[in-house]
Amino acid sequence: MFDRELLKGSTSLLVLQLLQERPMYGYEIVQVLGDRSAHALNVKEGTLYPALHKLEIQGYVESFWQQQDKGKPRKYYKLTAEGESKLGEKTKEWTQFSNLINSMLGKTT
Amino acid sequence: MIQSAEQYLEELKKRLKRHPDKDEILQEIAMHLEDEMAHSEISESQAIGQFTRKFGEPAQVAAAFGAVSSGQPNAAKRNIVYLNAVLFALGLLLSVGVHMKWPYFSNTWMFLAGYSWFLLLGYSGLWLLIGFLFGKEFGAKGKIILAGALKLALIPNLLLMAAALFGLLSSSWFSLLLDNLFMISCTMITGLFLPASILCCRFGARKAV
Repeated sequence: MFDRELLKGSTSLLVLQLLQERPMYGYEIVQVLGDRSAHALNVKEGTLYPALHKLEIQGYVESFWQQQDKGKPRKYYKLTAEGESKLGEKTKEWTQFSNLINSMLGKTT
Repeated sequence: MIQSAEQYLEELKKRLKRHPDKDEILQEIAMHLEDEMAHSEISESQAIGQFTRKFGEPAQVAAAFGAVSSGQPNAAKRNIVYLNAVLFALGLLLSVGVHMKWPYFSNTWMFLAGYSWFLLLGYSGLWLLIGFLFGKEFGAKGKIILAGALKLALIPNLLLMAAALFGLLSSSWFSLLLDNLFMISCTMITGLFLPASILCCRFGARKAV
């Protein structure tokens, strides 16, 4: 498990990355995130929804309700063009930052 | 101690109180809860305990939603309009006070007149800061929200400026503060508020996620 503070700043980036693949609903995002990280990245689920709503207010994702074959409708989130561009920008920033930290750590070990 | 899904949602409903998106949030979380329960092989009371540990107590979830609502952009717009209206009203009160020769107003006016350029720069800086904060808060939508807020907020400034420029207001009202150079500078800088704030909004949007 990682320091929660490390994960906090990158949750939105991970969510944008997942939504780039396809529209997803909240529970699905949590499951995919958990599966892909072998449950090492366990987002506090209650904070995921406010984060999604915030991204929607900011125009980086859009939501829509979709009726299921069985049961009630679900709220899906999808990436907008602005979200796509923000994802590119943040991914570049994150890569540069992690490369820098890796190189610094490499030098000291 | 929460024992059932229904109780969790009821508690969350109470905590969300007057949140404008309350119904949608509850519907969304009810679906999440339903999914969680459907994948659980333990009793409901155990499953809801597990869910609460992972998802958070209703009070924590409601608090996290407290700062996020679809009403935020309009509230921010309103606050900007009010803020400028208050500053404008203070300026107006001061001008009237000086003109009517109310005690203390002339001294205050004289003091402020000594810092007129500083005041203009400070006021311009306020709009740049607002632009940055709108970008940081509202990301890609910040520009549109900011433009809407600025257009509304600056109506009193523009009306006053037009009245002063076209001689509808006696120049003696502002004679200490408004020489020609200052007046032209005010007009030009006011014209730059929107593009300059939007530029700062773009910088702010880089910090939005």
